[in-house]
Amino acid sequence: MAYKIAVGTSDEINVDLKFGELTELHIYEADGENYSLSEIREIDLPEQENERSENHVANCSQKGCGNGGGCGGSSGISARVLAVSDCRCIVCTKVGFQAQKQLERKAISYFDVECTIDEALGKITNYYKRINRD
Amino acid sequence: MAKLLDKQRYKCALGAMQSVQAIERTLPVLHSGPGCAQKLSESIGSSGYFSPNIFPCTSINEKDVVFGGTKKLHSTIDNALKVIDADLYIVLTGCIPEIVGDDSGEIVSEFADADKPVIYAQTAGFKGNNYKGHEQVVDAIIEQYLKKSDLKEEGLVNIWADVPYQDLFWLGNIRELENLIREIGLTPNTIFGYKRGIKNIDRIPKAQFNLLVSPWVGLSNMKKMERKLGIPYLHYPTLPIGATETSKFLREVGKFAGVDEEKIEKVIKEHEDYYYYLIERYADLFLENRVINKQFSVVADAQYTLGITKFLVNDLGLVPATQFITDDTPKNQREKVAEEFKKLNFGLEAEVAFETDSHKIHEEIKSHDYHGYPLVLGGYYEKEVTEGLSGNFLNISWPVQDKVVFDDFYVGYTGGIRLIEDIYTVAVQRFN
Repeated sequence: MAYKIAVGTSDEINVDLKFGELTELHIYEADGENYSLSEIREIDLPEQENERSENHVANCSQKGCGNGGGCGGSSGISARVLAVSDCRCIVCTKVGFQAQKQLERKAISYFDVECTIDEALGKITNYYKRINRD
Repeated sequence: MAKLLDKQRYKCALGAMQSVQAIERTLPVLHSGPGCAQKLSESIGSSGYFSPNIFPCTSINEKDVVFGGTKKLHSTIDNALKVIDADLYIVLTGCIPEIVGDDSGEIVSEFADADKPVIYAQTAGFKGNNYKGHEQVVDAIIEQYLKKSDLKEEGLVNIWADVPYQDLFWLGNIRELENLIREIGLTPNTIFGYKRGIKNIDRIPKAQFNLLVSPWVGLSNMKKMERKLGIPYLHYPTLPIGATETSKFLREVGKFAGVDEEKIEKVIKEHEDYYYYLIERYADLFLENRVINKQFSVVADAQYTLGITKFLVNDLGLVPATQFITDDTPKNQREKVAEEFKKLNFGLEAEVAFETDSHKIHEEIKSHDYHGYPLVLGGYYEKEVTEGLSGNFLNISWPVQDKVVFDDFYVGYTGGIRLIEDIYTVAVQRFN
């Protein structure tokens, strides 16, 4: 059965983005050991997310971190997790602890690796084929 | 059809981290999933200089299955060397890295120039249980660490016994074996327990011979040392408990080592005199309680089943029912081990069953006619079944739930007395 793999890449050759840096996803469709790019999916990020990086420190000192949003960060994670929710796994260079937990709850695997997309997808599709989930 | 194993008495080969823990200042570095060490660490003491809670572990996950976990292993060893002060680091691999084909040996070889020695043992669970794992760890030390020595220390004897922590009395037993060997004028060398460690490992190649006191565990290690280090070995299969066996043991070791017979007999006489003085004082207790337990069964690993059976028959004059060996003794060793059960005093022979399934063991105990209340010495699993038969039960093998043992022991003359004390403590409680 065909399934989807989300990849974080800026150049379409290497896996080179962290989960928290993703603004779009390269969605590959895999079947057995074959895979191909099927979609480039924009992530619908909340507005504050875009400002977050600049105002990150200021926000923390003003509002404190006890507002439930963890420095306003979790909504960005949720949006990204939501965007990969139809995929079997996500491949990027790093996945933070909060994101890991949210992905685990949705039974989405994550692979934090730094290599080419072809190497990663080759191994991952081979793995899924072997564990007979195809 | 899938086979079910009810209440087995051993762990997987990675359980050999116990054996590593027992060597002072030696650290296991685990290349396994995080749950493996957690489950295996139960009941082996989780405090001390090194304990399972701080064993470095690669905690491999799905990513490492797909992409390999060797990078993580490298960084884990690297950091363990930096932050944990040990004398010897032993990498133990679990099932997952061996199934996916991580070359742990290659990673470990990258640390050949490290300040401290790093070696590895392949202890994947599918290769066997923790008895085999223990052998793998000793093998790793022989193969990767020890070097042949031309210098020999006259009278130096390496003593090897059963598996630390798996054997509740391991520490006391090995110390008492040392004492006995020392008394006949030899110098014992052991690597497990307090104040032993790497300096004793370094002495191994200088020994005059290896002494293995175990029915089968460690035999392959002895053969390996004979080949690689040129150390001959004496395999004494019975754990000597009580006067009869211990005297036999001392005579045989003495003969092998070329110790003066007179000296041995003097040591034996001194011990036996005191031993039988104690027995004599309580002879009435034995005779009265004999009525309770005519027959007995031991349910334990090969060393205790054999050692205790010989003791109860030869020294206490009890009659053996079926004896159960639960350590999954390798098939090629079984015949030899079973043969030992035929060498009992008074022309008696004990029937022995190699059985790992507790359900079957319990069914056999229930269906056997013990000619009265049974005496069962076994793991905690046997408590309920023995109580159901109104028998007397003593917990002597893994799992142990109803006693705490620091350095008590059953080996030797004193050990025999301790075992008698324990058995009759249970027996006399019947009347209170």
